[in-house]
Amino acid sequence: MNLRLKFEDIRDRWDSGWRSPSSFSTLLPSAISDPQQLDHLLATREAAILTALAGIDDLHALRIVVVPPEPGHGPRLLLNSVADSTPRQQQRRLAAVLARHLHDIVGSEALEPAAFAALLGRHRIREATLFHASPGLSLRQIREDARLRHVLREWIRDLRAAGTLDRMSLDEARLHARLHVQSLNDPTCASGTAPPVKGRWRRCLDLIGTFLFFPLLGVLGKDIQLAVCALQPGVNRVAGALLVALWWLYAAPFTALAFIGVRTMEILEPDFEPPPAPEKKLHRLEAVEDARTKNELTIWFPVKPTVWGRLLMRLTLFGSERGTRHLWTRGTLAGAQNIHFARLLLADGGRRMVFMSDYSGSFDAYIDHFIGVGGNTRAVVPISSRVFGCPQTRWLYFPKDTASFRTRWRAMVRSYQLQAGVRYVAYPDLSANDILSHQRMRAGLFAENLSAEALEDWVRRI
Amino acid sequence: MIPPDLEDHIQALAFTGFNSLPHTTLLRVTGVNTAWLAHVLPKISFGRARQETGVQLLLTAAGLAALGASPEQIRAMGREFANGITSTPTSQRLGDSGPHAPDTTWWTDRDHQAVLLFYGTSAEALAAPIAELTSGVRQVGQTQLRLPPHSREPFGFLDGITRTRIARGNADKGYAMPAGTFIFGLPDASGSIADGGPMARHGALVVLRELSQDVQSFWRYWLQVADGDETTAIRLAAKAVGRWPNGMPLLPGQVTEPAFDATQLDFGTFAHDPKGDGCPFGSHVRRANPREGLTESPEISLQIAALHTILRRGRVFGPAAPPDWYPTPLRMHMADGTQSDAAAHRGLMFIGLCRDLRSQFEFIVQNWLLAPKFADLYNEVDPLLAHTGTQRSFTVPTGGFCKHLEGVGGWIRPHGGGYYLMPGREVLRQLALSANPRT
Repeated sequence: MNLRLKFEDIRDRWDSGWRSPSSFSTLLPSAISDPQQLDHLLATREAAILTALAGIDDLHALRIVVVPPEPGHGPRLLLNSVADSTPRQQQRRLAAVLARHLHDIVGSEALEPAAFAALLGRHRIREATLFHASPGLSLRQIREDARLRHVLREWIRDLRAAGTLDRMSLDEARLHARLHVQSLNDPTCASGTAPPVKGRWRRCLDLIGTFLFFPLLGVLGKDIQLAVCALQPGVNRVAGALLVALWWLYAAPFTALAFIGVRTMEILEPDFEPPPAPEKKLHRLEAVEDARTKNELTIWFPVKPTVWGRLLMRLTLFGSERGTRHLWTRGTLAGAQNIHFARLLLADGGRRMVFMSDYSGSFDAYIDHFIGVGGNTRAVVPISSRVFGCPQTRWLYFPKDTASFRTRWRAMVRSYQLQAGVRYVAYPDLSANDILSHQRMRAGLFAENLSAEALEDWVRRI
Repeated sequence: MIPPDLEDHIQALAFTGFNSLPHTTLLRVTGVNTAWLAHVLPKISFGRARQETGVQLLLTAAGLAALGASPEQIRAMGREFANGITSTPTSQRLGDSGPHAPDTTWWTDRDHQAVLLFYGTSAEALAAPIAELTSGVRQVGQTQLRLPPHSREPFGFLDGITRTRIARGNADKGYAMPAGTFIFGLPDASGSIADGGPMARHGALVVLRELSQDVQSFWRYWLQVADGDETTAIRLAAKAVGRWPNGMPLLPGQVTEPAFDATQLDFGTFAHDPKGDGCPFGSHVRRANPREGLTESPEISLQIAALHTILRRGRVFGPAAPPDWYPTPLRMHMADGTQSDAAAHRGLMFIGLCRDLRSQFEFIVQNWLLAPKFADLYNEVDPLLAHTGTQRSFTVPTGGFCKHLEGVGGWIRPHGGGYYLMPGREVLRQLALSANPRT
């Protein structure tokens, strides 16, 4: 095992537990030079691949995307999976089920899973940023929690039909519901609270290291402030506010320098508008996106073509990764609520940035969430501003021309967007919000005591 | 604010629902040409002036092309307009799938080039203008629309309550919206101006959707889930609609319909009902206009909702339903159907005006009415628009555990529709003179 792989292994192990599920991405060169033929081949094999993937018991999502040819590269396959196991384990499991479906496409002579796994590993790209709306929740827990909701709804319906529900107080009903769930002995909905997320100490160390060694993170000032405000009122919040105030004394000069540097580049960079997506492509994207409740977005962005542009993109993604680790851990990505997983990667030596997300609802609503009126622009503008073709920004977070920014940004996304040839989702009907709601439902059911407000909230969730 | 002389360049439907003219004939025609347009143009009503009859002209993408518009000019008004209401992405967004998928019984914007809307005090009063303005073109369909005296739609609920309108001036508040929200070439609330190309100037895009309503099944369902209790049936149906049948808002704690009070009909927010105990989050009214419920900030939410607003000018079609289909308390209001044909088609012709089909009309349908996760709900769509191809449950908060009603919907079915441009006066004049604005 060479040094790079060893280093990646250490990082994977550091993140395992508190950063699960984990993401595995690889960019495989294709033996087929015609991207249309590649699309066609994937389409004909999609059903078989999906059937095979359903056998992986911890796989949340997977996509295979055909990346069109570019100077120096033929068509490539971008493969990404999100699963509870470590990236290394995912690599082996995926190889076991995908080798026979993809080996001829990627020009691998070996059908052996081990050889295919090595191929996947050789072309692996590590996520620069990974966001989870429900960190620490395994596929099994997500399914159990969804089942619990179903069980509770049925129980309520039966009790209401029998006329006994009205005779109970809400808390009595909750305790009866708990007994009912426990008496079922049903492994598909479990009969207790979820185990605590592992790696708490690693998370604390990561937090301390992050803020100690990277004072540039002051650019995330608003999110840091919001994270402190979200702490339980009392000692924790006061201590948090105090620590942040002290940290600002140290971080402020670095943050100011960072903003000045960014602003200088914003002024010097030319404004470029990519060609609009052709009608045929838009039609194909819409036909798929508008037919499902949970969608995927894959964007193959070119990074601004200068050394400084690439450097700034790396720094921006580094900052956003720190945000996903420690600030955006309560179901929202810098305020945006409809994303379940998001991952950002740098490919081709930093010349390309790949954005992949799984979100609920329509594309229009998704885009509005970021750049519509009241949208959470701080989630998307800083990152996309480093992309070649993004409408110009001011001070990293603000559009230069607010009136045209939304239209141009949306057109840019469509221009660079790629459609997954194969897409697997373990729970297509569950949004990130559903998953978090189910988790709270279980926590409320098995809590020793609930305040009147918490009890009402629990009752309304069912 | 629009200068009064500019108002006279915009067809009257943008300003009025012609409420004093209860009879409407909707004619779908083909074979439009510049000579016919020159003949029709002087009869079209513009601006706010009231007349004894009103004529409005709507053109499909094909109609515009027949009058000389280029494909680029048509596409400038949006891909949705150019591709029509039955294009695949649009059909998906509107929920026109499964039993609602467009079929051969539908009329669509692909089978005609223009729609003429005639408004009058009686059907007889419209005979002469119809005869005069349809010479030279071929009629492909006709629908009689009406504004019933009780102002209730066929299910028995008061309709046309929210008076969204184009602002007369800067001081005009409430439901008054900047003209640019609906009209091309004028500023909207955010100050931006939708261009839409030369053909769109001072025009609006119009959606027509013929929605037939199965009144008997609607009330049979609510009586069934209420175990035959008419008061409960009306209350539950009102929860699904989002208002009491007499139009009064649903407030937490109410169990029977309150007395009608016109001053209480309009409400700008749901601040009085934050948990949906009165008007459920999943109800039609709350989905169609979520007001301050879209984000944590009520102000921002209202701004977002305003951007998606459309002007509604719908009218009823078909005979009134037999009164015995309604619960007893509603029969006195719906008595005009005593002699009517029970098997006849009846329903609502939805007529909506906007300037961006995708981000206004289609957005509302796709992301609010038919969104299964709307307002933290779990896999349910608008109870009125649900059908066998969608989730058919409806959550009714009760103060304790919510009630989940299964099998709602299936009562409304589209039978046709289209996307149209309602052109401004100057564009019509240039088209009629064959002076194509593209040149």
